Amino acid sequence: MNLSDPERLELDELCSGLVDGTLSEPQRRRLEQLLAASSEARRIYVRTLALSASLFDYASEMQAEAPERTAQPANLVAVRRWWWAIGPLGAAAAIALAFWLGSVSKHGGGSESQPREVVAHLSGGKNCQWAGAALQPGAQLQSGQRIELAAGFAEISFDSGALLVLEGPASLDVSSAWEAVLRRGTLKASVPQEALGFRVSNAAVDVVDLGTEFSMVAEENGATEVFVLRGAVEAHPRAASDAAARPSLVLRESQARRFERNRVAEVRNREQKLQRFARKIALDRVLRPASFVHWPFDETAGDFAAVQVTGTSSADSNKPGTPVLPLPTRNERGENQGEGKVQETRPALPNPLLPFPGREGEARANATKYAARLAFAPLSTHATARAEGRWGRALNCDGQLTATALLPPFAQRNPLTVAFWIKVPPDASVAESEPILSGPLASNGDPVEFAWNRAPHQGAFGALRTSVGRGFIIGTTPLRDGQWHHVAVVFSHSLRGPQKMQIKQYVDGRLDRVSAKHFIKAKVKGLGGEPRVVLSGTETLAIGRRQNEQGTAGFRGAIDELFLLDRALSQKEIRILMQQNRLPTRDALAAN
Amino acid sequence: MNANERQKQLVRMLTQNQRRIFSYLYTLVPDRPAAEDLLQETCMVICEKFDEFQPETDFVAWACQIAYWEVRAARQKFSRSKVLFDDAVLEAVAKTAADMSPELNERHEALALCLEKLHPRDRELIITRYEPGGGVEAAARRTGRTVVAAYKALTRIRRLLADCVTLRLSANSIP
Repeated sequence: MNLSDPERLELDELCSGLVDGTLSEPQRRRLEQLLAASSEARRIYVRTLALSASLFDYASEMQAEAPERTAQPANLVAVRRWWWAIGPLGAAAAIALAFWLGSVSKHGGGSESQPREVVAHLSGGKNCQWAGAALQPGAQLQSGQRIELAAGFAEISFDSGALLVLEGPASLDVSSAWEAVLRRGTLKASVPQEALGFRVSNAAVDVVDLGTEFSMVAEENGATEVFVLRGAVEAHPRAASDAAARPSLVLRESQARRFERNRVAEVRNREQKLQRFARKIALDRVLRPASFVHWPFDETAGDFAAVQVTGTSSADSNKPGTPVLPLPTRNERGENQGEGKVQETRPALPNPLLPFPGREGEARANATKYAARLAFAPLSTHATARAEGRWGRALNCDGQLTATALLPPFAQRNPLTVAFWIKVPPDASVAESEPILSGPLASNGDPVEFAWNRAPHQGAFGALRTSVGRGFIIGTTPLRDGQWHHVAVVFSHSLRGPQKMQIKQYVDGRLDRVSAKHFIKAKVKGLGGEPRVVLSGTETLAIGRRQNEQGTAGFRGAIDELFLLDRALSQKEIRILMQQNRLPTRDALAAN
Repeated sequence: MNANERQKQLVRMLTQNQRRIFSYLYTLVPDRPAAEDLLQETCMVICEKFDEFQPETDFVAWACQIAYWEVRAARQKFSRSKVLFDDAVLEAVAKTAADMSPELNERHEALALCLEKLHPRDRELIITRYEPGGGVEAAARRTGRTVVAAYKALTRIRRLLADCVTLRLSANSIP
């Protein structure tokens, strides 16, 4: 049956209503009737719906949003919206990563969380029942998010490394990577050394961790009991007024206190409760496969640094040569209980795209293909190119020696972790602060550079600095002290959209406090081409110098055990990588 | 072809074609989150059944068959607002979508050029409507329109884009 003109118009309106979610039931029936009767109607319908599907796809790639205006401090200089001035979309035919350049925002020692920043994730659980929308295993949790657990156990891993196991019914606010508020219910906190200072509070008490394992029970009436299972905590009773203020107390192993509105008391049945909290709960954990390239720099001579291209599977294989099947991950949703809606849905892109471990011969071929080639300047000598490393030997850059490695293909805008050991002499000069590493890891090919910060007016001098184009983030831990430091930089999706990335820096396994940031957010501009940009295997990673500046004087210091991984590692995984020089297995994760 | 090469082939094909599979699913289940969930389930099945795929045949057609059965299998868990049509209409629409797959791919490519030609204000509206986390209300707010005006404008812009795409394809087909 051919459609009449009025029917075509009617179908057009029905399709519009359908994609915009305004279709009424009679309209739905009418649409069904038209589609059942007419092949032409079905073709028009399919074209219209496919247009919307394409628009979803292109919109993910484009920047149409004006910069955020609310999250900026009052002393910000005017944000330079140069990306807007060049034409919203037309000028950017290729995918381009643009950074919003605001004034340098300084962060003190306090919380560094930005509004809606991802600060934790749901790393495990057992028989979880949620009050409201369910959280998926692995779900990212943002600052300010409320977790409402009706029953079961949920394990929350904070980016600082603190681990909370919540026992339902419970309600918890995730405040930042360093702080949570237990509104009601029971939790058990395991806080590693790197997260020392992690705080759990509520209306009755502030508990500051001093390297420990403790439990907290917040009752409906506001009274809260604190039990120390291992180590010590500092507890600050909250008071309704200054007059009622009471001194802080340090609780040590096996000690417990009950904090009520106007008094601090002993806990009844302390022993039994301590025993209950000391019990291990067997949780189901999420462990995603990862593919990675690893340059150990263990050669003792020559101009070649071999590489291992391999991966781990969700079945815990951590052996080279074990196949890894890159199953698409489930959607990760941040559920905001307060607003009761799904805030973000990840695209279902098969993630690990690095070469897969294969036969022995292929592993050998990859080891050669992606090996780092050392370039010796006239003044540098082969004799000093190697040094004692953190694990075996290391590459010793003397300000003249640089290296270049071919990057295996990988998806550029997917999460990524770059990890390595670094030793910078205390007398390294500003001229010797060229990037430790530089590579086209951003989606437009802008080099991402890792260096120690040489600009004290911008952030902590000598701390880790990750730059992307004109934006940067600077940590606080000084690297320029002649000691080995483990560095891991994690690029992960923001909940604000898959094209917006968050950068987190870890030094010696600890989430490094941010001393300065010079971009507010990153978004992808551009149009056309394949929606997910995948490096072709022809791009290179520069070691000890800036990319595209061959022959210039470079970085002075030693570098060891360089890993490039195709997903965002958690703090726990980073710590195990640092301690064991390999990716953790499920058993290692459960044991640590 | 050994197992390792098959894995590489699988990843390549999924990466290259996931958009087309999503488009097919969205035609059958015009609800973005539901279609994305179904895409993931379809990808899982594709991974499991990849040994059955004949390399010389059409991967997208094969994947869309899997997707279709995923929709059929999942329809009982969706409310009426997700899977709109009864089985007969669903099957007819699915067949049309599968038959039109090459054309739809060309239309997708042409759409990129048509988007470039849009007035910036229209482009901002449509992109904000379709970007992750966006929607009609967000688009209206961003562009200073009322919600009703935004609905009308979106209908107009989609019609413009559809006409532009059709024009481009017909121009390309002229020898």
